[in-house]
Amino acid sequence: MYKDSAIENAVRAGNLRNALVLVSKKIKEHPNSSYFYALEAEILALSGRRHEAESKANQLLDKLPSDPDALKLLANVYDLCEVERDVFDKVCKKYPSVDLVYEYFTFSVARGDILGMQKASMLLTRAVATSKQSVDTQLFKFWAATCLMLACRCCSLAPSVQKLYPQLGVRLMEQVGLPTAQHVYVYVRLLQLAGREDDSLRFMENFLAKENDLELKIIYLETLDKMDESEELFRVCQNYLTRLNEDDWDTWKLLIKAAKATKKLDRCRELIASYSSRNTGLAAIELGEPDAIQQYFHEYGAKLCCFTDLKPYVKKGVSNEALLKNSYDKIVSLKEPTLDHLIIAVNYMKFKALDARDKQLVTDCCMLYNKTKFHLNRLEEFDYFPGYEFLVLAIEALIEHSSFDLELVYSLIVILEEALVKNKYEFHLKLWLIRLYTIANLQPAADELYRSLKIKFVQHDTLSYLIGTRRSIGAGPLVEVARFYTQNVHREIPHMIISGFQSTAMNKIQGFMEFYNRLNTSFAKISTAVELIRAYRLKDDQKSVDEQVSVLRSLRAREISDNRDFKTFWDCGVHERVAEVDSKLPPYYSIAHLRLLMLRELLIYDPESRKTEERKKELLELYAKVQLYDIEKWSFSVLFQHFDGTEPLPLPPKPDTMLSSEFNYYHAVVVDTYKQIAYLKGNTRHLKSILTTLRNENREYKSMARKQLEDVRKKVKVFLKNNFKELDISDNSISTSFAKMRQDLDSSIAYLQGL
Amino acid sequence: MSSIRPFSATDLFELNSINLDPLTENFYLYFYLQYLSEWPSLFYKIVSPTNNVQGYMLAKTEGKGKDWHAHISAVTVNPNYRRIGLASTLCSSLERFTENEPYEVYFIDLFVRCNNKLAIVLYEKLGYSIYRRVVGYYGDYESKMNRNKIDDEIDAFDMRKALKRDINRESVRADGRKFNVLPNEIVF
Ligand SMILES: CC(C)(COP(=O)(O)OP(=O)(O)OC[C@H]1O[C@@H](n2cnc3c(N)ncnc32)[C@H](O)[C@@H]1OP(=O)(O)O)[C@@H](O)C(=O)NCCC(=O)NCCS
Repeated sequence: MYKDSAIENAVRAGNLRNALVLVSKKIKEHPNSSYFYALEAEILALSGRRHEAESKANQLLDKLPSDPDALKLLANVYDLCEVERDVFDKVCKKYPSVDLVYEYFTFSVARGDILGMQKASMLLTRAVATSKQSVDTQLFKFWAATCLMLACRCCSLAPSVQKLYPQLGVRLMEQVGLPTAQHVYVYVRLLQLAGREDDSLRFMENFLAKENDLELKIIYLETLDKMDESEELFRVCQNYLTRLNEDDWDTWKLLIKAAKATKKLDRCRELIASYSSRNTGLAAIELGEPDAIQQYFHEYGAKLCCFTDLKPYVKKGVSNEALLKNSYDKIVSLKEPTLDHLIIAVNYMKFKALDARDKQLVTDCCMLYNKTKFHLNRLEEFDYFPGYEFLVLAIEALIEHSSFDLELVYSLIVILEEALVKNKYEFHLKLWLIRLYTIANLQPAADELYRSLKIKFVQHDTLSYLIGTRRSIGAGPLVEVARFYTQNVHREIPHMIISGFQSTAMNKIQGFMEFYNRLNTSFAKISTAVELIRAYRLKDDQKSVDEQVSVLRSLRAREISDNRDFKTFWDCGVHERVAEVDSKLPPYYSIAHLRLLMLRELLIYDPESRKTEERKKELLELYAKVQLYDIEKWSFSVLFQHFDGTEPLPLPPKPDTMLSSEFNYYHAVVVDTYKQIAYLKGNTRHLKSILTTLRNENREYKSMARKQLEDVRKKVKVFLKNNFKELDISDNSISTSFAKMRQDLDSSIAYLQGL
Repeated sequence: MSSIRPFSATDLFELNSINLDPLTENFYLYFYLQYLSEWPSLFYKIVSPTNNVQGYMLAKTEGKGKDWHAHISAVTVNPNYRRIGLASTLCSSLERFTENEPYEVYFIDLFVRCNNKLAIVLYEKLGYSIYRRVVGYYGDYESKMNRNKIDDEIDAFDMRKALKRDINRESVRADGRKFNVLPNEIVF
């Protein structure tokens, strides 16, 4: 965006004083260029001279500059100064040229600002009407109507506006016409927002008669349902299911609903019986047909979908029913169960786990795993082996019922590592292992697995929390995670939103905007910044700290969008018990916790902010509310002492084992607290003496850690014999696992010693 | 239970249990968004009643004249929902969506690694046949130079299915296995 590379380089290098000198030279050379005035204001804002920056920006804006680049800089200046101002709106109203208003539109897209897009697109329709350039006026009307629809569906509007916008949109669409499914989509949505569902039905029906558009079909059926048009709903569903042969569960479900309302159940039964598919098998169950469950089980018992499909319909104790029990007993008696048998047994154990997860379940699952694992030698390289689910079920049950300690964690690691040797692409096992490694002090192993899963792009957003919570071993893969937001999200998405408008994929734009906004306010984005700030602060890398602080400062919305995926982890097991199992494991950050961490960084690095007092107040409220580790509480209390002179808490004792990541975390927090206070130029005398004591002790850590690991190894051996006898894990496997763990533990300890 | 629904950009948050599979590629954001922008009705998912994604289809249209066709770029199914016909349903839906208005294509095609026997069987069952071998398609620069140096590991079969608009079935041929082309010879 910079028009001068020397200035850009100076800003990038953080040499703002030099940048200011360069920009004033430019202003002298080009006294009529609004761009350099705006740039000057921006550099002032970046230097922390926010009052000056704001008043320069105000002076410039009063002159209504029409250079879009200058306007973008001004918008950024106001952001940096925490002032709300719609710079484009002000200027575009005065100079509504097509080019400038188009810039306003793209600028609003880049900010994920639907209301800005709405205003800009409306101005565009007027600008093109009076323009001499040859532009497609219909296209821009279509954009404007789409933005009106988006504003009504995604933003909270005043009731009068909520009423006005759909009417305006409908009128625009009537000028544009309805040549394609996308036009009909926008028109129908607007009609419905205007309360004209009846009319919308007519248009959909007409269009669907000539083109089978999936999106419109779904809205059409939903609207018929909502309007209680049951006769018509029955007819239309029947048409899709039989004439067009679309075997779709949503349609079957609506057919059943309409049949009930219109007393056409017999006809509905006939239709279901005439069609043989998994959906109709389930439709028969939904209708309560006798023997439908048995029939389904008969046909799909050897498919993995069986459990999730039947779960909503089966009663407690289903695993005791003769049909399931008999087939299970038969499988157990076989020497070499086939893959079909294996899947039936997986389904059976999942049903059983729904009822009870006791010690017997653990034993049975281990026995089944051992009995079926020979298939791993016969499968092709990438084939999926469902037997791993026995292990996950057993592990979940054991965690739920044991006291959760490190012996258990290390034992489970051995079991999973051994299972991965023969099933090296099994991602559920890998996710589980990552979880366990980060509880044990084995973060390097967790990072290695994270990388082996080839996690990239949007997957970072949903999965990086696994390796990025209370991380105390350097930045690692979080560097790539952070890059995803600055590079991929900002460079790819706004551009594609515009492209969506250009190719009139209007039914996708709402999803694009939601996707973009959820990434911009994402939990993982913020927690990555917070974790990186700690990692870089520990290494005295202030430039990198500043980069991450600017990520936090640039967040305009208060809300945090939690896109973390906790589901895949459990996808294989039985979701009903997630809470019980998870409550035994160390917790991840909650949203309130993350906000607390973010506020702390902003208080440290953004003291000039207008919001400082507000931030302090919120920080204290959250501190009182959020469940923190003792060491975290201590750290905050030291910060409060610096701000308010309150007495800090006493330093809690060191965790007694190095085999838990809490050990590294404890040290990282202590050193980090010292660095925070040092940065704030506070009194660090006491903290320094704590550090000296810790550093004196840490020379022995490596040998102590190895000794503790050796002790655990012995216990693990016994534990596996007592609890997982059926898995038959060899001493050799245990030794191999522990040899690797020793290396990873050494790395963790070495990091800590380097602090 | 499974229903076909349009894909939305926010579904990208929900694909881990599918895209962590080693055979399923996880693309740049723009790639998915480009398909959604340009072919909004050809990127769809198959879901459970609670909107759990069980599989998805990513397809586009391209070509001129009688080469006007739909191309399957990815079809993939969550391991928990395999072998119950979902990939087949996703493919047959594509036929329905593209053989009529607004696309009316002549045929559908796709590339599959020559050693992916499983997928080849799947497509043959659905009426696709091999049209030609694309030598070195998945290989390095060198392997894309010599059309006679075949290697199942890195070559792709271009498989096709003629649709009703191709009345004379000109887009397919019986002995496609014997036709070798180089990647740079495929232009539409
Ligand atoms: C390939 C894939 C899409 C198949 O999905 P699916 O929903 O299980 O396929 P279907 O149930 O529709 O299978 C139809 C037929 O294909 C064949 N087939 C599919 N998977 C098979 C397997 N694992 N082994 C043998 N044959 C198989 C069978 O003949 C099957 O019919 P049948 O079940 O009646 O015997 C799925 O395994 C997958 O997502 N794999 C990873 C990604 C991939 O490889 N995509 C294809 C790249 S071109």
